[in-house]
Amino acid sequence: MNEKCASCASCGFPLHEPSDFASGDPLSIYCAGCVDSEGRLKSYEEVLAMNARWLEENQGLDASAARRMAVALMAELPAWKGRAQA
Amino acid sequence: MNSSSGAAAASRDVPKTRRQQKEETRARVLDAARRLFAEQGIAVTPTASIAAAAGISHGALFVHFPTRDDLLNELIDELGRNLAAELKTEIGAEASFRVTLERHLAVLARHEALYVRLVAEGPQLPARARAALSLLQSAVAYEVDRAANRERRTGRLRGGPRHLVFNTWIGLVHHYLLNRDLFAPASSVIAAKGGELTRWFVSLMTVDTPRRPR
Repeated sequence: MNEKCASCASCGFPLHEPSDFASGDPLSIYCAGCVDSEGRLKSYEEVLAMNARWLEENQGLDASAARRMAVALMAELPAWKGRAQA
Repeated sequence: MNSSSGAAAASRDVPKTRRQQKEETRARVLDAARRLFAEQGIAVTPTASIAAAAGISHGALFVHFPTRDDLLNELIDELGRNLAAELKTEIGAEASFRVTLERHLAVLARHEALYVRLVAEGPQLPARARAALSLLQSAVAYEVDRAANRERRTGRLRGGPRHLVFNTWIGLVHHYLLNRDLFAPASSVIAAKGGELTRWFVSLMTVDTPRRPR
């Protein structure tokens, strides 16, 4: 069991292989999907939409339920904690 | 005394730092919560019972986890991190569809008692906990779909939307887990029935090869 598997500070996605990390950098706290081509963290709305789409596409969740779950998840993540709820 | 037992004795003699003590207490709380949630249920297990099982006062528990939800969230996150890491490690890039399903079940079997409670109490879990569980399922769906796509390219596996393939599989697995007292009262239901479920699901997904007429 790998106890050290971290997760993205923005979307919560597990970070395991170097390619999972932003810019392929295992020291990054973000995943590859949460940063733009220059390595900058995407906006809250962009990450929220991405997270909701991930839940929707993989499990067929209702779009509003997927968005609700994404909001709940992101509210506790370091990148967005303390931010006013969407 | 040999050198290894000497080292062990020496390490026993070194006083623990406050940080080590704190980490050990936190781990004991998590162990107790994991066990009691699995045995008794998540919603009905009081934090006082968890504190007692961990050997600390009720008030001391809240030093480590300010709210009950914080404790539950940490357990789910830990389960999610472990499952994700194990699935990623074990499935690998080239695992077959069947092997992917077998390894998914193997991971669930190692976390079976708590996982069953999380599934059973899913709709009643706090929003953050439920969302974390859903994120975990999406990660599994993604890996199952990747394995299915590899075999679709060879023509051995039928097509289908990712979410329906995954939901059919997880629905089957969860039915057996939630009724494990009926299917395997004396053991792990995954150990008892996992092979049968995997073979059946693979057969559903496999393209029939036309039989040659005699």
